[in-house]
Amino acid sequence: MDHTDDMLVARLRRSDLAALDAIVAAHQDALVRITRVVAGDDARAHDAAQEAFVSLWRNPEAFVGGSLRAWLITVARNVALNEIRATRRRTARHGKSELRPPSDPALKVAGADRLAQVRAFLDTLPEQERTALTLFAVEGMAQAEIAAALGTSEGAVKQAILSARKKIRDRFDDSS
Amino acid sequence: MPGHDPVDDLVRRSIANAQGAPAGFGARVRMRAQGDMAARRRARVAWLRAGVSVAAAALLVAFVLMYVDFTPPAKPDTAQGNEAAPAPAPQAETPTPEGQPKPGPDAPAPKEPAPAANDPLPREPGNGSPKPQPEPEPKPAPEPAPKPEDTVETPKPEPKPEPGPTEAPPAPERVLIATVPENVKLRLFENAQWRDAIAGDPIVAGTRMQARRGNVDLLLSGGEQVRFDGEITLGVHEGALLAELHDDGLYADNLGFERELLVRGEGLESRLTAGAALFSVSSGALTATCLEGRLTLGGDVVERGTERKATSRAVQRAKEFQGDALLKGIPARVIARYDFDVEPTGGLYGDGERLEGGAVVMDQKPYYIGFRHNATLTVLPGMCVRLRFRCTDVERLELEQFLADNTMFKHVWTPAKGSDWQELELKLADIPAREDAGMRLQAGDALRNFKLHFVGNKLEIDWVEFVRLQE
Repeated sequence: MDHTDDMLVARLRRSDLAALDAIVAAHQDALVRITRVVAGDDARAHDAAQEAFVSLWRNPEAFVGGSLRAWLITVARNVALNEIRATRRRTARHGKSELRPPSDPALKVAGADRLAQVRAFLDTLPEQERTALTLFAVEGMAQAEIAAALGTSEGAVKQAILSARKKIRDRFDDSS
Repeated sequence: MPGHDPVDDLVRRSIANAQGAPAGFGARVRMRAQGDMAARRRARVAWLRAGVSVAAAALLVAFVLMYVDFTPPAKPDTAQGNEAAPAPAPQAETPTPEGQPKPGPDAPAPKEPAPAANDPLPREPGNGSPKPQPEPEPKPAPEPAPKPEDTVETPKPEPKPEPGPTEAPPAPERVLIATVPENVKLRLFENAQWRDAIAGDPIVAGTRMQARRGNVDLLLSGGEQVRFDGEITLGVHEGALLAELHDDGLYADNLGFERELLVRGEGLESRLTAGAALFSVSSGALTATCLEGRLTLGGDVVERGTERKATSRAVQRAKEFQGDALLKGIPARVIARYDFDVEPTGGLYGDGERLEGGAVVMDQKPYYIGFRHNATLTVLPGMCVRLRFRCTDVERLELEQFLADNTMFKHVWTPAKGSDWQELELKLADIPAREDAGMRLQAGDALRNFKLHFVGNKLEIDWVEFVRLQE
């Protein structure tokens, strides 16, 4: 448990804007990065991350301890997934989706370097797998913290990470 | 814990280039927080004012109860006695506290006094404002006491319970918004819990509803049509139909009605005037799409065929509407229907038609079936005429629609052979004028009558209906 975060949240309960600034500064980059992985585009990621901070501001009592970063990721991820669901419903009629890149990343990023291909391939993985792997590999979060953020068990997180790794390895065998 | 894996490095490096929060991100969060704080402050003031109003009203009621004599007047035996009787307590003079705090989404709708105990569920008035009180304006003075001669003949009044301080407040009026149709999976939030609705259940203003599976289509008591797939509360507000959208989407059609639709969601507001529109809420935003009529979002106009998204910060620029799954399979809205169990209100005028077994039949000169609409029928966008008919040795049919100025629009076709019942659906906008084939019926035209001419022996029409289809 991060005592700094706890103290900042306690100050939020007194409507201390400086505390909000400190929380935003500490977590904004990670939150935007992870919601971009979930949502697939910048605009939606920014909106979802912003919504998570505003939710905390409006109702700091909702955070009852533990990892503040995990809590923020949970809220932002839910917002992003809801938005995706709504957009999918809205575009379903025309049988097209603006949500995911093409399933074959090689087609999308033909000529681009290997890292771009990995990034594009990551977007094709199931949401829980790519989010779990990103939180683990990029944000360095512990398995328990990831489980709390995704609202699932540690075992499921472990399985998601292993599955995502295997798919990436199968695809980019020579580079890994 | 999965240990370190070379794939992790690859993923890390692939994402490392991705930017974190953009410049100004923190400032935008701060701005929203400040806006939120100001809104909370305003809400506190509003609550305070409401509290003061309620307290003042309570004091006034207490004062009235303490000092006003509610004893009914003694039975007037004589003129003298009658004149001396105290005035009855005026019924509608108890002030209604204004500015009461708005209840939360789960709270019951604002209640109004019921007009009568035996009519607990009055229908909502059509297009006009909801009647605020069942009683007329409170009169400045009580009714004059009856004259002595009247007194003798007046039947003895029914004994009434003694009014007094312990009398229960009047039953609240429940404005009927709709009734639950057949085959709809819907839940209603009543008495602080969700319950499955069954066909025929009344939906009163302020009831929160949740689509359980798929879309819910409702025809409202005011005539409007709505479809939703999430959670919504319908009510009335200052003469407008109010839809508070809690989740997912809403389609609404109030074309041809004066009553406006006010949609609120995520603290934002949109207003539909005589049109059809889509609304959706998500992530602190309200999106509105104009299909027909006039639509505003946060005060900005949404043009027909476009959608705009509003957040607490701004209303975004319009985008061309690309379609929405919520529009798929919207049931036709019936504008007028003639079943011929009885003669249409406007009357048949074919001179020889007869009603037989729920159909109108014609088998002689002048070889047409015609009837007048009750007043006129205004053409709406997407309006169609549908009819079920049967022919006997008929080689041609001519459907004629007349405007008030006698301009005729005509559609001619050859019916299928045989003696089976057939159905026709025809968009009114596809019917050309007789004198000018390039001229078509259009929205706003007022149809005066319906006429189906035939070349042959016999024509029967089971029903005719005019419907609006959302494309």
